[in-house]
Amino acid sequence: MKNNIKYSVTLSFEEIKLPPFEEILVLGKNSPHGKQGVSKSFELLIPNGFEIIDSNHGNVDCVFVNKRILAKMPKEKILKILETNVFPYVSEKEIIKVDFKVNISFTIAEES
Amino acid sequence: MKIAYFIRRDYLTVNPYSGINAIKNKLLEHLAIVVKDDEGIFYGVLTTSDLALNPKTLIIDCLTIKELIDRKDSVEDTIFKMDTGKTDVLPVGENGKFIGLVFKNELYNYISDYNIELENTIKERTASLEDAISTKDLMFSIIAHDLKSPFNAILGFTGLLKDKLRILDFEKSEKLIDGMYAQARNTYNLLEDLLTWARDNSNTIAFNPVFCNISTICDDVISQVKDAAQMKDITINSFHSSDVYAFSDKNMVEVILRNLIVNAVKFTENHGKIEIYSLPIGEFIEITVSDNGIGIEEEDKTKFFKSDFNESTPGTANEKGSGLGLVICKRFIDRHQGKIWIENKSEKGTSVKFTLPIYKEEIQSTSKTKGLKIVK
Repeated sequence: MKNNIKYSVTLSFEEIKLPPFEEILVLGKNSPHGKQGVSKSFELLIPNGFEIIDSNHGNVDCVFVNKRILAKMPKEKILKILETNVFPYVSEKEIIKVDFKVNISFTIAEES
Repeated sequence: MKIAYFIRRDYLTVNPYSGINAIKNKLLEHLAIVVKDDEGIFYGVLTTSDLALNPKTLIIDCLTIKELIDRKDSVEDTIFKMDTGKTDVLPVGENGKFIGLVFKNELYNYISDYNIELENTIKERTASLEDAISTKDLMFSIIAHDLKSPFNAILGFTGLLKDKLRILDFEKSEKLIDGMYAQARNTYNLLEDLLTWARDNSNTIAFNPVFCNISTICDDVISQVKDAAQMKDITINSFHSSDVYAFSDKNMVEVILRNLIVNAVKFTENHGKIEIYSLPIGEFIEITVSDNGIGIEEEDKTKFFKSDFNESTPGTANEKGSGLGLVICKRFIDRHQGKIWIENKSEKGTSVKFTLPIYKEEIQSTSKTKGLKIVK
């Protein structure tokens, strides 16, 4: 007797980039991956692409910030925004990726 | 003690970017793993406590900073640093370059062994100090008791001579002078014993075995004690093989023979007889000092060789002694690996026998040629 098996597959795909975030990564104090290891892997994937900013927050060890953003905003300002809006929601064992889009606009009024 | 003696160089090495799971079991087994990269750059030491305090995925993130101590550091300083750093292992360097690991348990074991050794040394030194103190006490007691009486006798004789010299006849004066001489000689022997014993206790007597003619030494000693023997009309004869020699310390042999012959004179009645003879027996010469004196009780035969005994038995003419003579003899004979013992003769008297190593030209001339002295 022949065994007839039918497969039903649902699939989808999309492009990803490594590392799997673009702007900011927040490392919890007791996350399984430490600062040195993550830093090394970033260095291998995107050499000189991220800057590490240490944090004094109770649950956060440090923040990896894409240098593209740092070219647009000072790191103190970025850290302040994160401290207010992100860090309160980070548990010490987590690694959080943060989408951080920066729009810059100027209003220029020229005197005649 | 420097930690250089405790450095372990048989350590395991891992790459700092290896995963913890891969080395966890090895770490538990070895307690510490050295972290170095492919180029040999030293990152630190991973310990089990690092793993417990800082559990991460990669080794590099688990590492805690540990001071690189120098191989010349002391054990005590290193233990202090381990306690301060709350670690059981520290990396050791030489000129700042990592060379190995030291483990706290091994340092503790050393300290514990060292403490036991120190304790034993203290016990030994305490015992030897107690011994020295009791020796000193014994010396004072001997000086107080045994030296006082002959001086009293000498003072008595000189007092008599001083007061009555003009009225005493020649014979009586001679008798008093003989008595003074005997007491002076006795005191001298006593002092000699005391000094020898004190020097031996303070280990200032050197042991220099040389080729020794026992017959010659014996004759010298007999001439030293002949006055005391003559006073009791005791005859001393000495017989020795002409071709048998001892390999011994001449000064010690002299002290031994003088003590034994003086003892024999002391415990022999007037008109008695003393014989000194030696016989080769195997690797030793057996020397006997035999008298026809008052003999010795069976139970006293061994106690005279013990320094804690120190009871001097007066001689047949009430001669005094230090009670140390036979103690000194035994110590000196022990240093020759010889033996000393007392035998009662079947007829009246005592034989004191002792052994000294025999001189064998083929052995001693090869092993002790340098500095060999011939005492004839």
